[in-house]
Amino acid sequence: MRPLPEPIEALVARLVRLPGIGRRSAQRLAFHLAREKPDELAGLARAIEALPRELQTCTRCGNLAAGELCAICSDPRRDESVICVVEQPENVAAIERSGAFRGVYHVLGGAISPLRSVGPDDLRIDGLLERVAAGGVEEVILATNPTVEGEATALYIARQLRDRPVRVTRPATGIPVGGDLEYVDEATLSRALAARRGVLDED
Amino acid sequence: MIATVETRAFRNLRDAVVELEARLVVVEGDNAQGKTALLEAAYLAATTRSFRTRDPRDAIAHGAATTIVRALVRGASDSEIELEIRLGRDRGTRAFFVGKSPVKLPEYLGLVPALALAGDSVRAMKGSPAERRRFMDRAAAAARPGHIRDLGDYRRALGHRNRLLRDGAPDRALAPWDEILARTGEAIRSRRRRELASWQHEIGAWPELFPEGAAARLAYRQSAEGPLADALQASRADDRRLRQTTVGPHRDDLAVELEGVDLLRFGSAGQVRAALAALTLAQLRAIRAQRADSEPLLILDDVDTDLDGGRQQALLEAATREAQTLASTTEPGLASSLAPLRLRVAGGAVGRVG
Repeated sequence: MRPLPEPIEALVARLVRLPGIGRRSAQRLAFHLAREKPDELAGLARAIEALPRELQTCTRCGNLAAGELCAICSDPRRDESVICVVEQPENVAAIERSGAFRGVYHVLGGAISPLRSVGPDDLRIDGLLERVAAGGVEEVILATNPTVEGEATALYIARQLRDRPVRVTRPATGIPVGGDLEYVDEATLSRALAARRGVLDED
Repeated sequence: MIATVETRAFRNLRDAVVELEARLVVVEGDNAQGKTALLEAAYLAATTRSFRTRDPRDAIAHGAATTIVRALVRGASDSEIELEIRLGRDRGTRAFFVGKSPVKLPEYLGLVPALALAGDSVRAMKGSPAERRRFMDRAAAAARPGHIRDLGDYRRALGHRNRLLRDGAPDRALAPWDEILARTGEAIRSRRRRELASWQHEIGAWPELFPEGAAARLAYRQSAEGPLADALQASRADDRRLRQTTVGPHRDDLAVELEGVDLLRFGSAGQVRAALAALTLAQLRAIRAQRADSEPLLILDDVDTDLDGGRQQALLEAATREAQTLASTTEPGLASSLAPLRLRVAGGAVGRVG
């Protein structure tokens, strides 16, 4: 393989560490950037450099924030009686894109994973329990990822909340809208059936 | 039915197109000539896996970067599809094609259901409960795709729980993992039991191959009786002391009992081989009952191992009724009465005999 010019190679070596970027995509990006105007590149560099300086963690929910509170926690129109618990800030972004949720969030910062030495104390679980203990919360939705680690985290939190006067729910995992039953795998289908509800049930 | 198999840079086989269009193909040749490689290529084209090694990339020929196997499959009413699999040495350089179009693995799998009975399977099954569990799991996974996911989730949860046991973690840390193990573990057990029940129906169907079949009882032996959730709870103290999880489907076992004695562990090599062959034939019947549209493939590697002449003949006759059968042997002239398509492999080159 012919070596790339050193500045390109240095950039590629950094880009391939990003999620979803293989060596080929990294090279494409690097060559694209090499053709950009210097101020465009400086703008990109400034935006990246600003991240650690200007980004904070929301002191209430753990989401990414530009100030002490994130945009959602500082929005008075959000319903603070419903807390949706997720693993990472990008999960907040995904749920927000759906526009289906008007409550607030709690971002754990990961999932319980003993094999990676991540225990409950390494996550923002205490912060969640404190928010619930402070009152005013009627429902906690455990929207951790549908992996075994996400599921274990949800089960752990559910047990911690068992004696509190809140409703604890988990989003239904199920059949994608517009999906064909024939192509839904068995585990998804059986969970979707277990969590079925009446056709005329109100939300 | 697989009409042809074409290989490139596959083990020691010479690159060639080999005609296989027959109910029974007998592949003769001395050891290390490439008989098993030819069977492996057909099995790989059907399943994307090898019955010889865990990593099918082991089959890439020395000095080559990529191997290609193509199979032309002829279906009912002469419809044809071409399957192609490419394996590169690097991780992730795997590609599957159906009729020249690239497809994802789930679309590729199952077009040709295939089972293999390898020459060394007797030793493996006799000595290893893990191998007996794999035997059940392969069948359960072929019948229910969700089985592989449950096995994966179960293993991961088990790893987490064992780590907590080693670290002396408190009960509240174990509880969620117990719950996940119970859910996935019960699903795994119920699918394995379902397979056993369907085999039990058929196991006596081949008296000339496996005369003990009529009296044999297939038993699923649980590592602890009762629901897994209760067993996990009850074994916590032991598990803490031993620093690992001692109950669950990863410790369960399969037994073929004859008057209470497990034939898989205590039977003669010939009995075990015959029992395995009968179980494999039973699986083929189950596959055919589910998938009337596709003709399964059966690989019988070293078919003469551990079986006397009468049983070999009975196995090949039965196999030919249930599937397109590819059998390898070092004995020339095997199964002449079944008029097989006869191939001979020498030095990696495959030729027709007669």
